[in-house]
Amino acid sequence: MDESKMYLCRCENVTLADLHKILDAGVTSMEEVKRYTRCTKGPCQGRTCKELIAKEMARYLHVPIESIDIPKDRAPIKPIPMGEIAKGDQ
Amino acid sequence: MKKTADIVIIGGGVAGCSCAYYLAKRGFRNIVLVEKKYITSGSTGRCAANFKEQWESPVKCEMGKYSIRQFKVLGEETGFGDLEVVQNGYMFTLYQPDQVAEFKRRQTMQNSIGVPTQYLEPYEVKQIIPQYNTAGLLGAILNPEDGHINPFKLTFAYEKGAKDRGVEFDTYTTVTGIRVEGGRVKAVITDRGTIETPVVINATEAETKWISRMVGLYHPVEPQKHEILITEPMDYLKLPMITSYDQKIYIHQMPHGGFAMGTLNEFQPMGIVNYGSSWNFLEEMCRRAVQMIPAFQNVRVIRQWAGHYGMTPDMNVILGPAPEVEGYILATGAAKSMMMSPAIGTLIAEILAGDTESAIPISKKDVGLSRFQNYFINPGGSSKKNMDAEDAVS
Repeated sequence: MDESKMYLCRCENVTLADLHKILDAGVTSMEEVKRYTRCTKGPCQGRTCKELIAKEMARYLHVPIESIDIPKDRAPIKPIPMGEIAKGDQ
Repeated sequence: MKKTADIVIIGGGVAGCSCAYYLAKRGFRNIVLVEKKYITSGSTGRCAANFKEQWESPVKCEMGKYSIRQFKVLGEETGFGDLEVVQNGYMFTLYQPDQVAEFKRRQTMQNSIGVPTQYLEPYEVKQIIPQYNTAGLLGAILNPEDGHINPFKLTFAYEKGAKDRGVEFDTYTTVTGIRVEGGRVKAVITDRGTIETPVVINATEAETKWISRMVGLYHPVEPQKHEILITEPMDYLKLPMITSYDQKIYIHQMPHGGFAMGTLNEFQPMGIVNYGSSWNFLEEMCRRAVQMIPAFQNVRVIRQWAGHYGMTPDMNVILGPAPEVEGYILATGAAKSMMMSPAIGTLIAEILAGDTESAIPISKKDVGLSRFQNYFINPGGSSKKNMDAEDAVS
């Protein structure tokens, strides 16, 4: 299958080919992959792509998945309208 | 990893990478940059991505003007490619009569040195930003030449330019000490080995004081925590960045469509580095943003994070040697490392080369350590009293 048409991060259009290109350049950190590609920074905040990318990195680099530095989850866990947050406790 | 170098730069953020690039471009050789994590992992990767040339002092205006000129050519000069430079302007919205007077005074100074700031009446603000709630607004100051650049791409461009010119980058390398003998820098000690060097450049911004402590000095750079959030991507409106000192908020739409907005964390004392984000910031920021632009009500927040400013006594950069230890140089951006990185790198290269002339029409004394007579700032104090200081939110 064409790797440039297999999307790992749908929000930011990062494909399997994009990831392999970065890994081939010597990058081994998922935090760095995030800075290069914007992966996990879209509206889904990595809920669909994070594990997929980590898994593929572990497979491609021949390392255990525990050794991949998966970027931390940041609040809010899912998108919330600002008007709702602004209401506070009310 | 090299065992000896002519210059070691500590810090792989935009300031350190800019120094590496401009030093190498200038002809300095045998340069090593050491970074604790990865390039852009500190304040650079957490910044608001805007740049401006409208400041309260001519020194900062000149550094801003020079930097904007460089931003336009750096992508091509380094061979990196597009850096997402856009100039949609930067607007201060003013709510107090004394603010209006102060910003009009600045405008006169800025216009006299070629920064085209203009004063706007509330109806003109409404014309530019129809969604803006102008209740209580007295006026605004806009500089159309200010704008946005991608801080990651900018830093990677410096990195590429420096590497192409022979600079060694040692990431995931922690500096644990600096050896000083007879009042001179001799070596930088890291967890991966020692690098003998006569010159060390401290470009660690928020962590400056801990590195300076390794040579037995205190330098007045205190970390101050700021928080920021970003919304889901919306239509790109090409609006100017908006800052209000009164409402303690800045709002800036990134070219990919998300609105970034942020402010100071008032609850954490200065002097501490803590990247955790807080719920009260999220709530307070949403309240301020919805009040300023009611249309934000239905826009979703997708992420928040925190970073640090390196606060200096006059909130200007500190570039140059510490007189007590020969070979120890500070390259501190004072929360402006990203937007003034070309000026920082250029001035550091000029200082190390011993130039008397400068590409930027300012005196090295204006940016050197000697301008502080008694430079202790209370690290344990509350951040609150700095809220009114210049740059508290920008």
